[in-house]
Amino acid sequence: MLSFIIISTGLIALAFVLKPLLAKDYIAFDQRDEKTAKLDALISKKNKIYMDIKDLDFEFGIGKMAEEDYRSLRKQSMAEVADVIRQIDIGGGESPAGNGKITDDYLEKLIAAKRKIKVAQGEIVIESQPAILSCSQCGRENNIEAKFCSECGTKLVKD
Amino acid sequence: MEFLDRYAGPIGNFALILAIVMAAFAVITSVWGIRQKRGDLIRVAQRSVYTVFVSVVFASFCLIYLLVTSNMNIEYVASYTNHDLPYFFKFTFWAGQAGSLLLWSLLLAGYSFAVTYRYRNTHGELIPYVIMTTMISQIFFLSLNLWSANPFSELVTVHGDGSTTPFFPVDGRGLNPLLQHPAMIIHPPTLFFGYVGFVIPFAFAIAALLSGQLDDQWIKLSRRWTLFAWLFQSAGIMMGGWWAYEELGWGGYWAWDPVENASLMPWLTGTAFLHSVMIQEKKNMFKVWNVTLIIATYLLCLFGTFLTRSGVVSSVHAFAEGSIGIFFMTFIIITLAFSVALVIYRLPQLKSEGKLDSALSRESSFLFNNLVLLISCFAVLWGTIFPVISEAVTGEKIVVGAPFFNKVNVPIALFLLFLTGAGPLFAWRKTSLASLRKAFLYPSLIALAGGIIVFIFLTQHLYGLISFTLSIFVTAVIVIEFVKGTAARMHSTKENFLIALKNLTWKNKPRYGGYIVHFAMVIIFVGITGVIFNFETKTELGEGQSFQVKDYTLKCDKIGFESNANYESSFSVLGVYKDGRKVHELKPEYRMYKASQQPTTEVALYKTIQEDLYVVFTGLDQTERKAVLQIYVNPLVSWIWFGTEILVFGTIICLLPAYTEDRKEVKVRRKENIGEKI
Amino acid sequence: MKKYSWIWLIFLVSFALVSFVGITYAQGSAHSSKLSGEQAVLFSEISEELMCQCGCNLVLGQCGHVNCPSAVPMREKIEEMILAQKTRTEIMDYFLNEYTFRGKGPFGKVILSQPGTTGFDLMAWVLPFILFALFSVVLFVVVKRATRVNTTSAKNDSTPMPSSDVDRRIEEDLKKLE
Repeated sequence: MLSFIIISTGLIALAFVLKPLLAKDYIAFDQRDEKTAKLDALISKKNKIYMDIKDLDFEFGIGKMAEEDYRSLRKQSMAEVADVIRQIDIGGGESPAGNGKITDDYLEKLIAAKRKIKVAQGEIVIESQPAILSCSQCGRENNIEAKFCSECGTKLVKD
Repeated sequence: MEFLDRYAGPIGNFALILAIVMAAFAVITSVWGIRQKRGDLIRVAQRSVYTVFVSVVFASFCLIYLLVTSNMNIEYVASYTNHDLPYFFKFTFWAGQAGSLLLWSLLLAGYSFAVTYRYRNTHGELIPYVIMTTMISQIFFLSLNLWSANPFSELVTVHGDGSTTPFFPVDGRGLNPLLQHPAMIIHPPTLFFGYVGFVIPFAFAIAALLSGQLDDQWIKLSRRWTLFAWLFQSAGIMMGGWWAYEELGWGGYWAWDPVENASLMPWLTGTAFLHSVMIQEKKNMFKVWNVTLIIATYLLCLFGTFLTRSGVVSSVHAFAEGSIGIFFMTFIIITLAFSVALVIYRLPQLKSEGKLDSALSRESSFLFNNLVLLISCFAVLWGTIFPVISEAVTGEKIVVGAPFFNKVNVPIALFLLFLTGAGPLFAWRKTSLASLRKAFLYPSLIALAGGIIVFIFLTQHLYGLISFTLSIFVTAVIVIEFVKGTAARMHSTKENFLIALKNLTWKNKPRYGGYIVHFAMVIIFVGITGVIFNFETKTELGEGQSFQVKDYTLKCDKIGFESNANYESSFSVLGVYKDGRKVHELKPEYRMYKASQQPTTEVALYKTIQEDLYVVFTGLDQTERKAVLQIYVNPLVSWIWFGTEILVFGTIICLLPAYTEDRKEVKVRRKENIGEKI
Repeated sequence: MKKYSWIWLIFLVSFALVSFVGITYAQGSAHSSKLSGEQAVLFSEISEELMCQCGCNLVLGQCGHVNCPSAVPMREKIEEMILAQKTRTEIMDYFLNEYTFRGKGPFGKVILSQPGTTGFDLMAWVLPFILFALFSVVLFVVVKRATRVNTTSAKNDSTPMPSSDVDRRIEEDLKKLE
């Protein structure tokens, strides 16, 4: 009786644990690819600076910071965040800042990025298979092979 | 039922074996899965973690079943319970070594389960390593459960020919009377929730190091787990104090016992970590430091358990607990070596990305607070292990007791109290001297005035004076912070004061929750400072006699005896009179527990905000007519427990989901994606 | 700004001062009923300096065991010696060199509740503070090295997009973050 219970429990546990191996569609799972990671880092950097600016405003507002410091720090942060935003706009690539010229290549990239975003927003419907899958809940773009949104965990539906 | 009565032990044992196998499985499949980028293997690892959790829960139920049914064949049951022990205490399976290690395993499995389930579909680059790290710890604790301190081992009689038959003692040895206190139910699990909880941020740090994803993602993901663990660690420590105060009967709550020290050390480093991660979150700086801190915190948690369980330090218990100390030490050293190697390996990628804007800033004040917290932790650690070191170096045994810890830590603690107030006065990034002077002005004036009042009317005791003055300072700082913030908000939103206050706190929970915790620390400090006014006396009272202590008159109404299955007690009933009015009735008791033949005293307490009247019945005099009473008047002790409640409240505010954070992320992302026309 | 590091120095010095004064400052609470005044203070000081030998690992003043086999006789002995006008040194000498409990002893230094101030024992007291000083220096260096030298030079805007446009966008974002 005891050994029967032990053996059957063990087998049930094993079956439960190993079941995913039978399913064929688990081959990919959510892992930040390099580009997403880069974009994530940029976005988090941007949010960080936003929070910084908010804190600056707040602390200046309650009189904890001298006006001169406040102005120079805020200016500095604004410049930093502007740079980050530009990098995000071109999809995590390098900032073209430096020569000050807008090259065709840069425009191309920018357009592609915007297009991708608008697709994600549902503003453009594209006929060809998109390389991304946007989440119905939060709008986050996911790898086409992903089953769940890497932002909020919602199940992704391919349509 | 009969089946369960006979086999609950072996089944529990099997559950532990299943758990350890599954934990090993989880380690292998998670590493394999992430190396090969195979989602199916990660799923297997996740399911293994779930199975580990279910198995350990099941094993715990088996142990509880054995305890509740008083199955004396089980060594653990016979050692820590007896038939007549109230059910209440039979459920608390963590009284002994084996049980408390099982509680570790249980909580660890619970945390691992929660994290694995929470992030089952996300953060695939980190979570498999998190699973790996927690499950390695799990294997360690389960192997202790199985082979070093097995709660399911059965008592057997060995016959002459070497055969064995089960042995059933008539009754068990009973639970240590000191543990027969309501706190027994809540204190150990609470503290363990803290100890074990630090495994999660630790695992995230290791995962970040292993995967090379060294941005602040791991900190963001683990922030609330850390706070959660910290909350329980704090509450657990305070509950330990409360238990000692109400049960041990020496009138105090903290004795700098190695076990207490063990719980304090990870709290100190954990507190440092909670502060310093904010710098990384804001500036991407000091990554090495944060990783080091959390590794240290987890190692101190392990070390604490090691101290408690191995008996290395308290010489009387030395090595009474078997070989467990060696296993622990080995595990700690391996974890340490592995973590350090990993940090060194990643050192090039852990470089700071930002710069401090000024040496005078919130950031640098946090660094300073880290330094002081760590020195405090070191002082505690150093005092705790000094006897061992001294013996190794000089060959001479020595004792490091409470006076040492008080002398070294009181100044450090006071300095920390000061930083609690000074820190918030520094603005993030940069504070000019002028604005700093402005910020310090009012709180300092208020503290100065308060200090003078304290000096004249309350105490000239140096530490007491400093402590009260600093408490006033910190309180002033916090109140001014709230008022300024609220005023600024009222100005910009036209809300009324209360709404503005609420929204201010709500919109920035970590900041204002943190201030509430700071305030709680002030209240706790005030409570602790009350120790300088402690008064103690001894008296013998017969029925009808009365005795004057400070403002109170104690009148002995009755001396009596009681007996039940668990213990015999003698007690006295005392009326407490103040200004001629009866304010309370106390019933201090002296109990002799039958199973263990150990005496304890049940302290009787009359608590007010001002002071506690603490009466211990130490026995009867020779004539058996008079009660011998030890009486303490301990001012301000209630503040400590009250402060703890505020601390819990403040931490919960920090813990509440920052509504902004999640939704803001999405909103910001949306917005930046819309962009402007191209 | 580097030059403000001295503020931390002031904190440090005041801290050192407090610790120094504090360590030399005695404290005590427990006392017995037969003694009063200076004698009571002496009693409580001595009961802080000795360890109870019953196995509780507490100082004598704190052992709360009912009828403790070690603490009760020890306290009685101290009381007796104080009443017999013995000096502090004599009492301590007695416990160090003569006192026995359950056939064990004399205990020597093991009966003392804290390390002495000579030889290796001194390390117990000073090492935390030495480390504190050492790490303060490290902290200074770290903060100094991690601090931006020139805070005012914002990056110049050589950008393809008009900066006011971006700025407007940022301000809008910030407003929505509220």
